[in-house]
Formats: sequence, structure tokens, C-alpha cells
Amino acid sequence: MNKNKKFLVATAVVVIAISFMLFSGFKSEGVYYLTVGEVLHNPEKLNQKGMRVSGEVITGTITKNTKDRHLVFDIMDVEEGGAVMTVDYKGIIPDTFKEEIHVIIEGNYDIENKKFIAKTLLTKCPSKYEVDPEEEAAKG
Amino acid sequence: MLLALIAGAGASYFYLSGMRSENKIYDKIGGYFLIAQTTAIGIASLVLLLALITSNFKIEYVAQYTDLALPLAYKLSAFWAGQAGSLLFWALILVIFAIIEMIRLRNFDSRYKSSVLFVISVASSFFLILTCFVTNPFAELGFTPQDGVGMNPLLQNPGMIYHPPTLFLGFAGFTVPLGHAIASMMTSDGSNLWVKESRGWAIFTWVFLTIGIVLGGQWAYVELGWGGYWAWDPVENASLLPWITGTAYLHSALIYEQRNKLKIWTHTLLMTSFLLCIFGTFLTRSGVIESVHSFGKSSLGTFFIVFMIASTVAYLAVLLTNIKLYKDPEEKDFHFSSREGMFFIANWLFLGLMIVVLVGTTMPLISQAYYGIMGIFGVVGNKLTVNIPYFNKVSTPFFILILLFAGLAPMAQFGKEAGESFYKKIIPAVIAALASMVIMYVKGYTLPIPLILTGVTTLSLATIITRIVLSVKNNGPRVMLTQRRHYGGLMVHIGVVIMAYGIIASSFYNIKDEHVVAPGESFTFGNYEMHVGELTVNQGQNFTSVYAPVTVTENGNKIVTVAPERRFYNKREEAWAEVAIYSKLKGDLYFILASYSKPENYIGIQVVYEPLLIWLWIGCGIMCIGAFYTVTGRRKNA
Repeated sequence: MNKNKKFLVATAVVVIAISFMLFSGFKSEGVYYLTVGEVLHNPEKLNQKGMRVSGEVITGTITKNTKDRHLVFDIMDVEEGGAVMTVDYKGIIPDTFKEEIHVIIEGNYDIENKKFIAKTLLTKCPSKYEVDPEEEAAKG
Repeated sequence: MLLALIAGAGASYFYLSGMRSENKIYDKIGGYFLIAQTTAIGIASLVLLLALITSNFKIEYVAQYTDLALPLAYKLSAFWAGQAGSLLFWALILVIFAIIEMIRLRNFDSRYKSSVLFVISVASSFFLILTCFVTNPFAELGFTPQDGVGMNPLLQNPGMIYHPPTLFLGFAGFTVPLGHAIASMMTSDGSNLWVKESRGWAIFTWVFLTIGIVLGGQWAYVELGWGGYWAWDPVENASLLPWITGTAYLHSALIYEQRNKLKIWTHTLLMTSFLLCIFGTFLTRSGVIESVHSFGKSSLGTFFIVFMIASTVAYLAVLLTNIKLYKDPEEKDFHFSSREGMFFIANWLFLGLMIVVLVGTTMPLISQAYYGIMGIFGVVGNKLTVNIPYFNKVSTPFFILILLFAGLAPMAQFGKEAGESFYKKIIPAVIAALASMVIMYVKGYTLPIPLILTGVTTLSLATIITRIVLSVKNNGPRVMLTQRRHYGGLMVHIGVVIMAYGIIASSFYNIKDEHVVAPGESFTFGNYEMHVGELTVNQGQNFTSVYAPVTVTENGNKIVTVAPERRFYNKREEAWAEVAIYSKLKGDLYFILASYSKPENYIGIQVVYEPLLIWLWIGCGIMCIGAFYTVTGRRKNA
């Protein structure tokens, strides 16, 4: 039964290795996937990890400085609830960024200044998403 | 289309009957139904294409994806640009494959043949159910709009004409080998016949899948303007997953065919690949991962899930009832260091890689389900997701090991433990690998991960070369023409290695920089001097473009002038960046017109240097040529 033993050992090693990688990967690289309301509910606890938040850009709140590539705008929950928060983003402004669009941001919440500091900004037009079989989030 | 569905159901039924009894009549009737189904789908596809060409906006699909100003090529490509059309396209590919198999297998045992065609009919009928009842490409609007919405500018790129069909060919292609696998079980044949019969299909499928994925990466690189080609996006992963298991399947099938081992593995990998193709289509077409809402908003999802579960259950039932066919005879000579042992390890590696990517991709769903269930016990948590660093982190070890074994396996022997000759043979390769690492380190590229990756990649390359040298020395250069499978396979591996070099260099050593200057000014980027010219406006067929010429000089010698632009499509408010790329074998210079303002007189230019990037495309080309070489010059009935 030498062969079976070998197989068992090999299988165990592989399973353990894969599980270990999954867990360590999630521990260090996992981020919360949230709605605006959830962020505002308990930002302190959530700041321990990164956050990814989705919401809709509110008309009339965009301050855009193209030269310095600095954006400040408000987003609100797409679903019921309608929680609102201010987002501060420095970086490349995606081509598709405009009012009323659905955005996905990643970063952390600045509790003192009551705004979300976004490291990345992805724009998604949900109705158009399916237009595109390989649409990598329009990274601009 | 309804006709096609009815015909498909008929074909499925009669092939099923054909499987049960050895009756020629059923087979014949099934064939007629299949032809009817194909004809109906063919007509449906033609009608849709005509509607697209003639801009018949009464049909919602046409209005949604095209407009009058759209160039003809893109009007045609709209056939597979949208959800409904692409599902019809799937079905079309499947029935064409079925017809080919019907003709090719005409002299086969009718039960075997019926099984193959039954599987394909069921799959194509599934897609027809979707296009008939869930997302019909012919759904009409209550009115006829003057003009359509138009196509997303991101899709108006030549890459988008080729990329979806190649990917769909790859997705759909796995259905045929799967049919053969089922057929072998239905005929209680545990031999390697089905693997041989479907080998061409498997390779053909794999090639298209490879081309499809790489074209997708190339499209992202050219069109999305962030200087990269792969971002572990859910839709990218969706196409990569079946490729990983499909690659494992090809290796496993080789052992099955030549050594009669790894049989259950081969079956399982094939089914997994098929399921992942369906799953991938589902992921890209339902947007389920993107949504923060709860799972399964579109009815499409339910259909896909039911189909996947049903086909899995059916497959497992067939496999388990026939499992004794595939029990490896008690082998005394299985060693991990023999060649089949290494293939076995490679299977595990591919499977592991698939699992970590799959879990990462579906993490939002998994975590949601987990907390949904645990909520009963008072465990509350937030939906989790992962990002690019996670994928890089968990996939790198697998890539290292896969490349390592790709390097070792060609030197190992079937059925024997690694002995002295093995160690002798790999000495030159090990030296080459170490040398490559030393050279890299001395040149200042000292990051540990790319060093290790370069080492194992070089090891792979060197063992392939060693192998070719030894084989040519022993048998003369003619073996390259006679042993096509072997040399084709080696060629694919050379392509993989070349691609790996390109990926390593461009992933770890790309340089990004950004400058805002006034027209006429210059900035430095590495050894280059970039001179930015005046803004210019240009008129295209359905857009207006603004571009800034950038002249690149190196040590005072002018190299090239490029023109990154921003386009304003007539129907859209926002501007779209069109990047300019200057490719050389050493690396790509990639320019983006990030911002500009005429009144404030400034132009913002982003420059990215992607070393060795072009080798990705070259490597992919070599892989595909190699794969085709393996199936050329086959003897009849071999």
C-alpha cells in the first residue's frame, strides 16, 4: 500500500498548502466590500482592513481639478437607505467619471475630517456592463 | 429560433434513444433534427446580422449596441458584443461543431456517436432556451427609434472584433471532448480511444482559448490606457480558469493516452474545464460579482446554475457507475520523480492555481453566503473581497512550481525513478538557470521573486534546448519533422517560457511617470527626452480627436514621434483616451494624454515603460504555432 500512502501524503500536503495560502492571502489582502451606509455605521472597526465601497455620484457635488488630478465628490447608496458620504480622491481621473455614475472606490475612512480617502476609483456603468464581455473596470 | 430549440430538443431525445438501443433509425432521425437545428440557428444568426447591418432599430438589441454612424465592421461585431447575441453565437458554434462531428464519426458505433452528439445537442439547446425565453436578441421595442444608442467606444477597436469569437470558440470547444468522454463511458470502453479521437478538438479549443485570453489582454493594454494588460478582473479570471484546467487536461490526457494512467484525473479535469467555461460565461454575462446587491438578480443566473448543477450531477453519475473502467491497474512503478509522476504533480499545481483564483474571484459571493448562514448563530461580518495583490501573492508560488516542473519533466523518464542519467542531463540547465539569476542580480535587478521566476523559467528553456540537442544528436535532425507531437509540444513550451520572460519583466520592472507641461516644453524619462508639441484637432467617422504629438529623442537622436489622443465620440459626453504605443523588442513606450487645457495652456502626459512586453505576443504566437504543429501530418486512423 506504499503507493496509496504516497498519494495520501501528497494530497494532504497540497490541501494544506492551498488552504494556508488562501487564509494568509485573505488575512493580508482581503478588503471589505461595503455600501455607504455600512461604512458610516462603524468606520473605526472597518479601517483595520481596506474597504471597497460602491455608490452613485451625486449631481452637483463634483469639484474637479484636472491639472492636479484631484477629485472631491459625494456618493450615496444605490439601494434603499440613501446614506451619503464625501470622497476625496487623488489620481488619474477615469474617462467615464461623471455625475450620476456608479463608482467603486477603495481606501479608508478619515473619521476626523468625515470623508473617505480613496486610493483607487473605478467607474462602472451598470446598465452598460453587460455590453462588454471583457470590460475590465474602466481604469481610465 | 424557436424552431431551432424544438429541433434541438428532438435531436437530444433521439440521440438519447440512440444511446439506449443500437438502433440505426434513431441515429438517422437525430441527425435530421440536428441538421434542422443547425439550419434554424444559422437563419436566426443571419437575420440578426442583417438587422445589425441594416440598422433595424425596432429590434432592441440592434438599438442597444449600434447606431447609424458605426463603421460596418463594428456593426457586425455587435453580434457578439452583447449578452443575447453572444449566447446565440455560442449555440451557433456548438451546432457547427456537432455537424462536423456527425460527418467525422459517421462510421463509428452508433452508441458512441449518439453519445457525443447528444452531449453537444443538450448544451446547444441550453443556450437556445436562454435566447428564447430569458434574453432574446430579437425582442422588439414598442416603437422604432431614429437612431441606436451606439457602441461603447471601448469596444470600437479591432481587437474587439476577434477577441470574443476566439474566446467563445475556446469556451464552446470543450463540449466536444466532453461528448467523447461520455461516449466512452456509455460504450463501457476504458481504453484511450476517446482521448485519441478528441485530441484534435482539445488542442484546437485550447489554442483558441489561449488566443482569446491574450487578445483580451492586448485589447486592455491598447484600449484601456492604464499601461497594463492584466488586472485579475473577474471577467479576466473567468476566461483564465478554464484555461488553467484545460492546460492540465491536455497534459493529463497525454499520460492517459500513452501510459493509460491518470484516467480519472483526465475525466475530472475535462468536466471541470467545461463547467468553468459555462461559469465564465455566466460571470461575464450576469455581472454578479460586480454587484454589491445580493446574489442572482438576473434570472439568467438561475438558469446557468441549474444547468451547471444538472450537468455535474449527470456527469458524476455516469462517471461513478463506470469508475471501475478507470481504476489504474495496481502499479508498482509509480514514482513522483518519474515523468508521469511529475505530470501528476503538475495536475495538482494547476488545480491548486485554479482553486485560489476561483476562490478569490468569487470571494464576495462566498463571504456573503458564509455570513448569511452564520448569521443564524449570531456571527456577523461584512462582505469581503480581494484585490490584485492577493492574486499576485497566491498565484506566484504556483507559477514558480509549474515552471520548475515544466523544466524537470522533459528530462524524466516514464515509469522510472530519477536516476543518475536524469541528474546528468539537467546539469547544464541548472547551470544556465543559476547563471541567469547571477546576471540579473549583477545588473541590479535584485527583487527576490522575479529572480526566482527568471531562474525557473530559464531552467525550463534550457531543458527544452538540452532535450532537442540530445534528440537531434541521437536520431538526426529529421526527428523534428517525424515526431511532430513531441516537437510541437516543446515549441509550445518555448512559447510559454518566452511569454513568462515578458510577463516577469513587465510586471516587476515597469516604470511609470507623469508630467504636466506647456506645449513646446520637454521632460526627461529615463534616458529619453520627450518633447511635447502643440495640440491638434482631427475629425474621424464618428468622433473628434484631440492629440498632442510627442517627439522622443535619446542622446540627441530623434527616435519617433507619437500622438496620444483623446476622442470625443458624437454620442457621448466624456472623452476617451487613445494611447500611443511605441514597441521595440527591448520594451514598449506607452503614452497617455492624461489631461490638457487650451486656455490654461498645459498638457499632461503619462509615460509608461513596459520592458520586454512585446515578447508576450510573440510567445503566444509561438505557443499557437507549436500547438497546431502537434496536430499536423497525423496519419489517417492513427
